[in-house]
Amino acid sequence: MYYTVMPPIVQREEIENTTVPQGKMCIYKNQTIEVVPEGEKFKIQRIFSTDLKAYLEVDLQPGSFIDLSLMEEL
Amino acid sequence: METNVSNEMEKEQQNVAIIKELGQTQVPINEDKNPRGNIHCLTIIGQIEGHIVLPPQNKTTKYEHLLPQMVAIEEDQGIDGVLILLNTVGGDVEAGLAISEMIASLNKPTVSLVLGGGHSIGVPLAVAADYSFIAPSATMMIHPVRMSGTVIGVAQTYEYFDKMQERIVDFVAKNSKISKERFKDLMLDTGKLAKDVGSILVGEEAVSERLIDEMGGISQAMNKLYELIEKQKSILH
Repeated sequence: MYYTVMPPIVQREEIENTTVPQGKMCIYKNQTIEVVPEGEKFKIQRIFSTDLKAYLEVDLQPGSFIDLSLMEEL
Repeated sequence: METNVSNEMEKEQQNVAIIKELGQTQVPINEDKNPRGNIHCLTIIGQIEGHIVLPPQNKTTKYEHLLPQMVAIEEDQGIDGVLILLNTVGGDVEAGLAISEMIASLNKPTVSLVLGGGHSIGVPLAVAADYSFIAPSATMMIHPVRMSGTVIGVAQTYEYFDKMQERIVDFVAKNSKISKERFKDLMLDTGKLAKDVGSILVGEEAVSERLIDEMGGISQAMNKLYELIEKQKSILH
């Protein structure tokens, strides 16, 4: 259920007609994260952690690009 | 020496990317302790994303990140207060209310500042803070909740809508000075919007309706937050 000034029809059409890039799980700075490709870079989509500090870690904020040399495959 | 400079530049670029992508500023750390108190800036922008990931062209605020982040804020001894900057079109009711409840139940002083727009579910988010500000040019739109997809035409659907609306009305009335009745009147006003039911409150109107505490900008919001931090410190010591 929405409470927004965006017309639901617009939002629904957007969701139906746009493909969300497939996320990839990896280990970055000892945390499990999901990244999405953006050009040649990877952008953090979300963090999977029970460590609270991870959510305040500047380098792990969703939207930030990761240093590929520090990325480990899961 | 060169490595240090490039590391700093890289860090700076990352910080800029974070501000651009998420509107989030760097968390203050203990070594740079501000004598007036360290403030964590929480930016709620774009759409409040629910259980469906919105397409990448949307700017969104994600509850699965903000909820644990607020637990981290509550636990972090280095953070004394939280400044919430709002510029949102609203979004998912449950996600918005979840974030609002977390803000309202934080043990640290919170001040919100509505800039641009704090529409729909942005209203409970704005009033959830201990003290709220609105910029003179900012607006808040209050209207009934909506649903997309198949709607079954039975009385129970209306009752469900009413219950969802009641959750929002209750939260806003509990966390601001506006009465439930007045908020509902604004929500169901038929004479203000051309194609919709509801009301738009611009800056001062939100204050005169007692929805928002005060009109102001960043300096007023920061001063109020430092004042609340000081007050809390004096209670604790």
